[in-house]
Amino acid sequence: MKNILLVMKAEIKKQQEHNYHSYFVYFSLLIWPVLGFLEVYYTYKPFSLTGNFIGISSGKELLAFLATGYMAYNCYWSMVQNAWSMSYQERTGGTLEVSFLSPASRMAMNYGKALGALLQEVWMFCCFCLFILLYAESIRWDNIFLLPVIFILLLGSSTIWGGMMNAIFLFSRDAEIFMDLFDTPMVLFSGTRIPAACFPVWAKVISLLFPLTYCLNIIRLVLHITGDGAGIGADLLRLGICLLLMVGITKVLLRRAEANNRKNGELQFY
Amino acid sequence: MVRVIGATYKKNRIGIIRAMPWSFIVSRVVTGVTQIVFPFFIYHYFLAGNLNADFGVYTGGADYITYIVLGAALNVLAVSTLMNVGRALITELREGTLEVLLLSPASRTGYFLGCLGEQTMRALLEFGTVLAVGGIFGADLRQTFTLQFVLVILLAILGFFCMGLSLSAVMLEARDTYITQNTLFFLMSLTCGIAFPIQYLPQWVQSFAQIFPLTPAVELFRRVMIHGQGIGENVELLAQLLILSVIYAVIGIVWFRRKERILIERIFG
Repeated sequence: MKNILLVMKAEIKKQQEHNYHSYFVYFSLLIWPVLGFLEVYYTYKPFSLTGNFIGISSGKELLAFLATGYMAYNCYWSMVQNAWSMSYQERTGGTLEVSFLSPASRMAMNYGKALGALLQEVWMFCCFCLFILLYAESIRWDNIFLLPVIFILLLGSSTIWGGMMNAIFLFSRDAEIFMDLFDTPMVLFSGTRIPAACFPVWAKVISLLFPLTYCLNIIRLVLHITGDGAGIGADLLRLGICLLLMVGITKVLLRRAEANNRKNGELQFY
Repeated sequence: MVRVIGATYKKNRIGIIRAMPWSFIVSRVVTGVTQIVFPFFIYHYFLAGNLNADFGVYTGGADYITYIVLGAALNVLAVSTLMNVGRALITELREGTLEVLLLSPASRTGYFLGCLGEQTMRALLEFGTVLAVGGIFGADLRQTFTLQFVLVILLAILGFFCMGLSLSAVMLEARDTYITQNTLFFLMSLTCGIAFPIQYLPQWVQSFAQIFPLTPAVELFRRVMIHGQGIGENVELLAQLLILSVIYAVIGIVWFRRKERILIERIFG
């Protein structure tokens, strides 16, 4: 366990040294997500929220709904983006093969990469979302103790999602298509911008494929944004199963990526 | 100049045929389609067509889906043209061919027109794809392929091209494409009235939006496509688009000439 934590710590440190040396990163980590969030908020402006639409009946409730959606989506999306950029940078830099040449645990390195990126990439935008949630009165003094629970849930689930992304991006030099494949369906169907409960059946089926759907359901139920908390157990169980499945898939993918490279001659990626 | 346009067109065309930038094209089309699908879901599944009265006032009673589709399609055309023209010089720099361009006596305007000519077909293909998807989602596109439609598109491309000249100089100055283009596209998408009328935004943001050619272009496009108006009936929008085009073209050309001198000194001095 000590070794695993050491490897993860080293990967987090590596990420920090490698990526965060330019003020330009603040654009991608704060300004773009904020602009994207505002665009979505204003897309709702032509609509009248009179009545109760799946628990949303006012501008403030809509803000809280979108802030939770964007906060969680940002965590998950930064994992896809990071897996892509790291696989490219490490591939061309010649350090990706260290994943297979080093005696360190493959899984620990994989999750270390994901966690390192997550901690550094999303904190600014999460602060913005928390500010929105406070303004919308979804987070109050009486439920502020829920914040650490939400963060642990977000950190844990998106790190496991990120680990799977890192394993997928080990397979190909040109996996940019995954960016589009994971981004648009995830943002649309997981309930980031629109409640998944209002979807037609076919869209609901697609939404079940993304762990972000369950994660968001739990966060919104806990904060009483789209309901009073009933049914949270079912979502927790589904998220648990989803995470276990992803850990299993990551393990298999890592083994296959290594076997594939050994079979094809050498462990060098580029 | 015609020969420079032809040569640049040919050079870029060969590059595109040999290494088609599929990921850019897929990404732009996906973005455009998402800009349709998301409001479509809100309109049909979530808020069940519950539009407020202001929307009717701001858009002259436009059909919501048609309004959205036209905005998304023109945004794709803008992004595509700005990217393809704006990235021209920095791509030359990255590929090591900027020195040749700087030393050549060829017309710089001809070079950019060649870039524009080459990319227009691809940009229109992306624009057409998003428009066709919008048609499937229920947009009323009966005004497509009328003379007014063609004229608006040509005017819009002129505006985007001139802005692309300035963008090209900015990218060369900053030696960056990623941050510059994405920040610009996020700003345009939020402020130019793509997914909602800009009247919903604060007044100062509405004023800020007027610096982008996309703002008058998308308004003109919607008036032609939704209300069947002619360009002649919207002189103020036409004038704004043309004035912005001239301003951006002058900024781009002057900036590039200054940069050119510095670059030549740096490379060959």
